[in-house]
Amino acid sequence: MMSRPFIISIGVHVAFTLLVVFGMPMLGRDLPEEMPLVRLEVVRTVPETNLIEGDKPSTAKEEQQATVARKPPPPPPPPPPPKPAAAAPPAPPPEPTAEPEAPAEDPAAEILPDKPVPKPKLAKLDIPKPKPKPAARVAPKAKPKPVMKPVSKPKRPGRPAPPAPKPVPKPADTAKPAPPQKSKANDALANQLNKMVKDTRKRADAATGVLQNLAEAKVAAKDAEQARKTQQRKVAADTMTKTLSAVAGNAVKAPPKKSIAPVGIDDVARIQQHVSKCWQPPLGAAGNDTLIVDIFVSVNRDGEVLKADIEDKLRFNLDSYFKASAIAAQRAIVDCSPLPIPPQKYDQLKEFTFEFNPKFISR
Amino acid sequence: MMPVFSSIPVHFQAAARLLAVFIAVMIVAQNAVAQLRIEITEGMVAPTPIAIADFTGADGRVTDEGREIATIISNDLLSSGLFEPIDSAAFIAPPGSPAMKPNFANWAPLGAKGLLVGSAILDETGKLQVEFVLWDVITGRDLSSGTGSADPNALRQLSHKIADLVYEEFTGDSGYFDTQIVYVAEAGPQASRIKRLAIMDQDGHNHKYLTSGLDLVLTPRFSPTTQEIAYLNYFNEEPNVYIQDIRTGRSERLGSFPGMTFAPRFGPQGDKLIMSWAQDGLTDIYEMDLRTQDIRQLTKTSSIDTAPSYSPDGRRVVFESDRAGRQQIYVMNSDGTATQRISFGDGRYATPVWSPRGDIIAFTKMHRGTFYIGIMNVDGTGERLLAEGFLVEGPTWAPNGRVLMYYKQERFKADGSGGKTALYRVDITGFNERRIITPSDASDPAWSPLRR
Repeated sequence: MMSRPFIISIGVHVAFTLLVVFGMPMLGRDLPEEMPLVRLEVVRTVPETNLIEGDKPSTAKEEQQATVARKPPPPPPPPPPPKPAAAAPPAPPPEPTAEPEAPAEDPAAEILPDKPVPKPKLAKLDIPKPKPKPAARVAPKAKPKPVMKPVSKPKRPGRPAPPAPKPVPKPADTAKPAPPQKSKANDALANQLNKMVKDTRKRADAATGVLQNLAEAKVAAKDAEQARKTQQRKVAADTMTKTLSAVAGNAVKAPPKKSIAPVGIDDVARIQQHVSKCWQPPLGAAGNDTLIVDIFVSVNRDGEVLKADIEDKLRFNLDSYFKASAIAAQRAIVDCSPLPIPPQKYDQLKEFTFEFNPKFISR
Repeated sequence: MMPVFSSIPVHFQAAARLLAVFIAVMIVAQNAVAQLRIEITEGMVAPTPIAIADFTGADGRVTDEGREIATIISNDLLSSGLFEPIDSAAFIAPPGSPAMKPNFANWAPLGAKGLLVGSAILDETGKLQVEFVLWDVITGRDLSSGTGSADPNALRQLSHKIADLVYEEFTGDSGYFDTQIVYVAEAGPQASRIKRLAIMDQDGHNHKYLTSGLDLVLTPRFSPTTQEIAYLNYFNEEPNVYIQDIRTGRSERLGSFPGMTFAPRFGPQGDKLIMSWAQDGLTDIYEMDLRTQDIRQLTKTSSIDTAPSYSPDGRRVVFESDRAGRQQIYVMNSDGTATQRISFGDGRYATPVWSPRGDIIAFTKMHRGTFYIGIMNVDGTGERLLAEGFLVEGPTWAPNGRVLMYYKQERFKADGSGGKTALYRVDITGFNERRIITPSDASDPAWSPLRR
């Protein structure tokens, strides 16, 4: 009787011989990884959407505060915080501010350490919008598209309008809070508030929903969902706008300060036309109709864009199609600055939201 | 909490205070919504102007390699139809290094939205080292930056990768420039046509032949995961599916089947192959596990079922069948259940190919003597025809699902001449049809996945 080891030995030998004779069978189709001839490492910048402003969060804080301090006290400064705050975890801090080394920039091109990390944002916010003269090497960098930088920019002495003297009365539109004093309207307000709170929740839900969708996969189902949400959100927005403008209107009327010309269709149309000329959305992306980008904008009295914040930061960070669309929308706003804002209507038009809807592409 | 608000005057003060808090909270949360909204629904549909500066050497001057890299990237972007590279003759003082911040005032007037600046330096070991930054000219931000290295003979591939990156930043889609095309190169008179497998980069460069031409070959298909191609090879007049490792050039017949096997296509994981197997007068669809070589029959009809193609998630299969009288397109689960016809238009439908994006299916359509390449939604709706001709056939998808390649044959003339075949590609919007230049007649293209 043969021992077990002996049998195993024979088996192994036979197997080995077969292998030698016939070669490895075609089982393992998984070939060894090919050593790539080419290696490419990429750093995606702009993890945050608060474009324009540098991405340098560090020191900026203090400067920002300083700047703020100088400003009229009433409402918190312009930075419109993220909207669906409650939405989700990753939401990056909305702080736009950021301002690396403000002073240092002047030479047309300055050497950055190695990687253009810090991205010293050109400080030329003063020069309004003179079409950049192609002049070869404009020494002080006649920033053509200076825009954006202003607000947080601690260092600009000769800034024209931005921090404009905001008289007290302003609170009306900046901070909608006016109502509280209005005792009479309280009950109505309470109801409206309830509604608003609900809307807020809805929005939060919507945002969460978007996150889930994206995580699961951006597939067909998403479209319908998205459309529904968009609709929902639009309704919420409308209601809100109506409510708040009514409230704000009252507040403004109370302490009669300056007369405020109403914003008409013409004003809006002019702005729309103006920005349409600068907007070149990415073409051919899947689900074009869901790539609607909201951008919160604030402008100075000359219509120069001070801020253009992508509102849906969550989606910006998760959805590359949305990201490309959002950046294109921002680019349009910056490219088209200054916007045609009638000076007498500045108070109503100094902050608003652009909604870029690329539906025309699929028409 | 809520009820407090709707209550009595006594609570006014408290209520008002609470209100204030709520409003404050909501202004934080709702600020955006509360604002005036201006909808922008019209924009410009045009290729994005972009400036690709020649890459520079250590001394800040443009090098030969640097110029070549910029040219390759520009050509890639231009060919996509989505970009309009700006003539470098118009550039004013391009930065001498990617570490310098460009003076955007020099670029915006050219209409440039993006600016790519890079360096390409040969290190001591003879390797090419590159660094680059892609700037948004309008907002002055860098969109992305990176470094890379490659053997000098892989300069083209490295350049394609950078072009892919630019494409991605501006479209949100992954690119497709660092890809290859395998196709059937044809030569000789129609009666005794020599057909060889050939492979080239997506832009037509680095062309080479993979088979000798002794055997007739058809329908090459790329593996999504390995450097392998499945194709149909007639050996001793008998057609069978073979697999070739394109690095070694070695080919093997896949299994041994009585009858003939054809129309192979890999599964999305590269571990399965789906194909037609004809035996005893029946042609059905089978799936083979490439590791175990186990075979599974998916369709069982007396009709001809062929041209199977997996959905990107591998759960479904689209194929053509004449079970209803003439060729139409059907979708079934990948275990062969739940078969459903999706094409109902006039004419015949054949060679369906599922988009890598999953949302659409490309096909060949024949109607009244004309061939078309078209796309439809997975449920058969939304049919759109993108190309037509005397003979257009064999659609294959770019890995990002935005571009289709196929081949076209001209009509034969009375004297027997004509009938030339060539590769073309078209955007799924139906725009930007381009011919791909090949050394000889070409048919049956297959697009590779993105290379690593």
